[in-house]
Amino acid sequence: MKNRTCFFIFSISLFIFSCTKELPLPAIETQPRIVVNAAFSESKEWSVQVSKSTSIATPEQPSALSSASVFLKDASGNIIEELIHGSNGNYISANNTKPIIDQTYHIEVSANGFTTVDATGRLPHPVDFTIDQTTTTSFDGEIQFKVDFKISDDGSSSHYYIIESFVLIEEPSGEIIKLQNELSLLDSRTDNASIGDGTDRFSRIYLQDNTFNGQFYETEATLYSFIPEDIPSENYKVFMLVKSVEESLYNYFKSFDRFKLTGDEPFAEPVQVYTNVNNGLGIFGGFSIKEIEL
Amino acid sequence: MNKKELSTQSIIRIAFSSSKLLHSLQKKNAQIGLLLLCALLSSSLIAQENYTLSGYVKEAESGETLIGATVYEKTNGTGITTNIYGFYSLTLPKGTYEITYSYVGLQPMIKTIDLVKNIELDVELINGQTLDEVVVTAESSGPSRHQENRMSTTKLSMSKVEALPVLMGERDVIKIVQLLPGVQSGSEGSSGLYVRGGGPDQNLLLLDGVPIYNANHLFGFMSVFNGDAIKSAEVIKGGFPARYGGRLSSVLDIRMKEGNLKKIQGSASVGLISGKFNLEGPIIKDKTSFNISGRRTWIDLLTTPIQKQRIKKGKQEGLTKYHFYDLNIKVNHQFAPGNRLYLSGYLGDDKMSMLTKNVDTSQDEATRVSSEDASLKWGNKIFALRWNKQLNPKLFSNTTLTYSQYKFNLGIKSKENELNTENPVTYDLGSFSEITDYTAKVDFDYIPTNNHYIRFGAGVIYHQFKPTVISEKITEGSTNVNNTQGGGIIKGNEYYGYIEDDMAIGARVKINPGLHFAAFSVNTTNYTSFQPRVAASFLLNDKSSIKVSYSKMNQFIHLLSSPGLGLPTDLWVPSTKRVKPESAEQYGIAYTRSLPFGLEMNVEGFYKTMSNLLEYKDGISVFGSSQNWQDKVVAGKGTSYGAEFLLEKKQGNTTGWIGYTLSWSNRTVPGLNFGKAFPYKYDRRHDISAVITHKFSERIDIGAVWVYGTGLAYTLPTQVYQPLPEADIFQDFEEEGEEGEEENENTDPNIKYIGSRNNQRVPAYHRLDLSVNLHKELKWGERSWSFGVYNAYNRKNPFSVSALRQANGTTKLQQTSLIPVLPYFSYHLKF
Repeated sequence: MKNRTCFFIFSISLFIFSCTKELPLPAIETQPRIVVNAAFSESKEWSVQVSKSTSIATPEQPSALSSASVFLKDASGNIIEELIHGSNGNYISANNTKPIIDQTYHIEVSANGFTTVDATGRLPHPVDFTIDQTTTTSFDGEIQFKVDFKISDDGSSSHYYIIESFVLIEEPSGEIIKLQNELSLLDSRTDNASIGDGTDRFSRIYLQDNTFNGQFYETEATLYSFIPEDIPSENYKVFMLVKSVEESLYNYFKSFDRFKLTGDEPFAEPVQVYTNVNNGLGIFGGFSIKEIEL
Repeated sequence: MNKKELSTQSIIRIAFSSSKLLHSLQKKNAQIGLLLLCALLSSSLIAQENYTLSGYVKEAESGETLIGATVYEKTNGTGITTNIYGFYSLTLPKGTYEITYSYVGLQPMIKTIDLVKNIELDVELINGQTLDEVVVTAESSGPSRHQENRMSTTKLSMSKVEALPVLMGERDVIKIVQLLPGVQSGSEGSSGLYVRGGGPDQNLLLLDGVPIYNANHLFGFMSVFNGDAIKSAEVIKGGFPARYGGRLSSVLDIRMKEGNLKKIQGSASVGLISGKFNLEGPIIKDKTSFNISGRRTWIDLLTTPIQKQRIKKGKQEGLTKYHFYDLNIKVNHQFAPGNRLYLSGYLGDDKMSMLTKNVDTSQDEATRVSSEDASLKWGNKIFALRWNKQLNPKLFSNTTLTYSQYKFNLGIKSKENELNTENPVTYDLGSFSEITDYTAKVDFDYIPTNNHYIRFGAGVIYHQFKPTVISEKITEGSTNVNNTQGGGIIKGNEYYGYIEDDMAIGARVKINPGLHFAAFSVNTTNYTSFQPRVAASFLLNDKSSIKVSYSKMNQFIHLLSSPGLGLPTDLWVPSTKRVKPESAEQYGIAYTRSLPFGLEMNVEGFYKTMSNLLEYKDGISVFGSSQNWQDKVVAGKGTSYGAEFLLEKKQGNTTGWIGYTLSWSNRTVPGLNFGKAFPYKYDRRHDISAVITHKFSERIDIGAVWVYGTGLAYTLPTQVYQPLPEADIFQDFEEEGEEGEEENENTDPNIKYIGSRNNQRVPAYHRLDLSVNLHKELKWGERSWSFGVYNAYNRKNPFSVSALRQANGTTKLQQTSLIPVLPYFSYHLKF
C-alpha cells in the first residue's frame, strides 16, 4: 500500500514537467575513517572488528583493516592488553581475556594513514528478571505464550533493556532448529514505536527505565511462535531473555533497526545511525543477558 | 454625557467585568490589563465634551465599502482610516470642520460638517483621473509606512497582483506574498509560505475571516485564492495585533469582494490552462448585492485526446486526468445604515485520476487482463455568516458564524483476471482524512477618542479531526477480506478572547498593546495560553520612524506534511496529551524612511524562538507505516533571526520593490541529529526579490520579477561503513520468523554515515519572469491580453536532489527540476 501511494502521489506531483541532471558532488569528507565495532559481554573473550569506511565519492567498498594497533585499556587509561589480529579485521585477546561486569573499558585504534580513534564502553549488570506465570494458547494453528514477567530495576542509574524470545524445536529427523519468536507487550512504555515499522509485534522489544527507574516493571508479554499446535510440548523449548545493554549500544541498535527499515523512502529524512567512536565510526558497548526457559 | 455615551460605557464595562478575559487580565497580566482599562476609562471621560462623526466610506460606482480610506480633519490634524468594513468614527470638539475623505485612485471629497451633535455620514467617492491604476495600492490610501504604528505588515491590492507576471497566467495573491522579504516559497512552484523560519502550517490563511486549511490547487502550483474574487489582502509577519491568534508565523487576511450595489458588472478570462468568470451586481439596488466567481482548469480536456493517441500507439500505459474548480460566492444585505449582513462561501475541489489497463499474453497460461483505477480528490468548503452592527457612533460590532472543512480522499481499485472468466481478483484501497471547524465569534471596534482605537472580542472554535482512515478490500471469487485501520473522530474545543488598543501618545508615539488569551481542550487534556503583544512606533521626523514589537503566539493544531510539496495528504492533527501546543515569541525592530521620488525604505530585524515544533523522526514520512501519527513525530525547538530590507516605489509610472532577507533558521530536536542543532530545511541565508511594473500608457504595461534564494538544505551521507555484526549480540536464527518483510527494507548491508542533518545545500534558486499586458477600452467595457514567460532564461532550479549509489560503487547526485521556460497568455474581458 505504501509503495502504491508513494508512486501515485509522487508521479502526479511531477506530471507537469520534470527533468533531471547530474550534479557534481559537493566538497565532502573523502578521507576514510577507522571503524570500530564491538558488543562485549562477560561470556565471550574480547573481540573487536576493525574496518575502514569509504567516501561516497569513491567506488571502493568498506573493508577490514588487518594492520591496526588495537589497545584495550581500563577506565584509568592503563593498557590491559593489545589485541591481536585474528582474521578479516577481527582483533582478539591473546590471553582469552573476558570483560568483567561493571568495568569500564577504553579502546584505542590506530593505523597508518588514519586518524587514531577511541571509544569507551561499560559492561552493565545482568538484569533481575523473573517469570511469574505462563499460559499457552493457539492462534491460526500456531502456539502462542502469554508470559507474566517482572524486571527489578536497581535505580542506581539509567538502564536500557532489549527483550527477545526464541524457540528450539526438535525435528523428526532429530535436528534442532532455532526460531525467533515475535513479541508484544501489554504495557505500551516501550521504544519500539520510535522504530516505526507500524506493527505491534516485534522481533525485539526496546525498553528503557525512565518511567520505572528503581521500581518493578511488570507486564504481560505475548510470544508469537511459529510452532505448529500439533507438535508435542516435549519437542520444543521456549526461551525468553532480557539483555541489559549500555545506552550507546541501545541507541545504535534502535537507529540501525530504523535504518534497515527505511530503504529508499523518498519523502523521509535519511536515518543517522548512532556512533560513539571518537574521530571514527562504529560502536563499542557492553551487554549482559538473563535467559529463562519457559 | 449623552445617552449614547452612557450606553457605550455600560456595554464596555459589562463586557469587561463579566468576561473571563478580564479575570485573566487581573490575575496574570495585571499590568497590561490595567493599562488598557485606564486608557479606556480616561478616554471615555475625555469624550464627554466631544461629538462623533461616524459612518462608512464607499466607492460611488459600485457602492463597495473602502478598506483603509482616510478621514482627516486638518485644523486639529486628526484623522482615522476606515476598518475592514469601511467604517470610521472621528471624535472632535464641538465646532464646524472641513473633513476630507480620500482613497487613492478616487477623487477626494471635502465635506463641511457643523458638529453640534453626533452625526452619522456615509460618503461615496467617485473615480479620479489623476492617479495611476497600476500604481494604486491600498496602502497608499492610508498613512505612509513610516507613519503607521504597525510593523512587519504589508497590504496588497489586487491591482498590484494583476500587473505582475505569473505562473501559467494565473493571478495568485500567494505568489505575490512569496516575493516579500521574510517570506519564502519552499520548493519550485509551491504555494507554501515559510515566514521567518516558520513552517507552512504556521500561517493563518483567512478568507473573509474563515481559516483555509489547504490553500493548494494543482499540488501547490496555484492557490485557492481566485484573484477575481478578492478585494484586498494583508500579510502580517510579526508584531501581531492581539485580535489574531492560532498560528505562530504569519497571518494572511484576504477579503472577498462584496458585489456592486449599483449595477451589474463582470469579467471573464481565458488562459493557458483555465478559464474563469466574475459576476457582481445588485439584487436590490443600494441594499443587497452579490458577487460570484468561478474557475476551472481544462488540462484534462486538452490532454486526454493526446494521451489516448499515445496509449493506442503503445507509448503510454495509463490515462491521467486532472482538473480543479472553485467557486466564490458572496451576498450582502444592508438592513439600515450601520446594520449589514454578509453571507460568503467558497467551494473548491481538485480531482486527479489515473486509469491503467494491461493485457498480458506473455505467459503460457490464458491471457490475463489487469486494470487499475487510482483517484485523488481534495478540497475546501467554507462558509461565513457575518452581521455588522454599528451599536453607536463609537462602537462597531461584528458577529460571525463560520464553517470550514478540508477533506482528502485517495482511492485505488485494481482488478486482475483471466480473459472471459468470472472470478477476477479485485483490490480496493481507500484513504480518507478530514478536518472541520465550526466557529462563533464576536468582535468589537470601540473608538472612544481619536487617540484610541480599541478592539476586543471573543470566540469559540469547535474542531473535528478525522485523521487518516485506510480501508482495504480484497475479493477473489466469493472470498472477501476487509480491513480498516484508523478512524474515529477527535473533537477539540478552542476558546479565545482578546483586547488591544491602538493608542497615540502625542504626535510622535503610537503604541498597540494587547493581550490574546486562548484555551484548548481535547479529550481530557486542557491547555491555556496568555499571549501578550505590543507594537510601538516613534516618529523621528516627518520622514522616518523607528518601530519595535513583541508578540507571543500559540498554536493548538499541527500539520503533518511532506516538506515543500504541498501535497493534499498533509494531515492536520490536534495537540494531545503527548503532543503539546506549539508556541513562539518574536521580537522585532524596524527603521522606516520615506525617500525622494516616492521611494520608501524599510529595514527590519527579527529574532524568533519556537517550541514544540513537530518533526518526523528519521526515516519516517507521511506515507510511512500505519502506526499512530504521534509515534511518527518528535517535538523540538526552533530559532530564527535575521534582517529584512525593502525598498519600494508606489507612485509614478514605474513601481515595484526590491526585497532582501538575510536570515538563519535552526532546529534542535531531541532524538534527531543526536540532539544537536541543525539547519531548518528552509534555512535560506540570502533571499532577494526584485519586482517592477512600468506603465507606458493606458494601453500597455509590463512587469518583471527576478528572484534569488540560497539553496535549501538537504542531508547527504558522506561515508559508508560496515555495521556491527549482529551475531555479536543477537543470535542466529533460521529464516522463518526473521523480520524483514517490509517493502522498502534497506538491502545495502553497509551503513551510510551522516555527520549532521541538512549538511548540504542544493544549488541556488533564481528565476526571471516577464509579462506584457495590452489593454483596450471598448464601448461596453475593456479587454486585455496578457503575455508572459515564467523562468525566462530557463534556469533548471532544483526541486529535489537525490544521492544514488551506482553499480560501480560511487554515488551520483541527481537533481530533479520541474518547470523550464514556460510561456503563457490570457485574455481578459471586463464589462
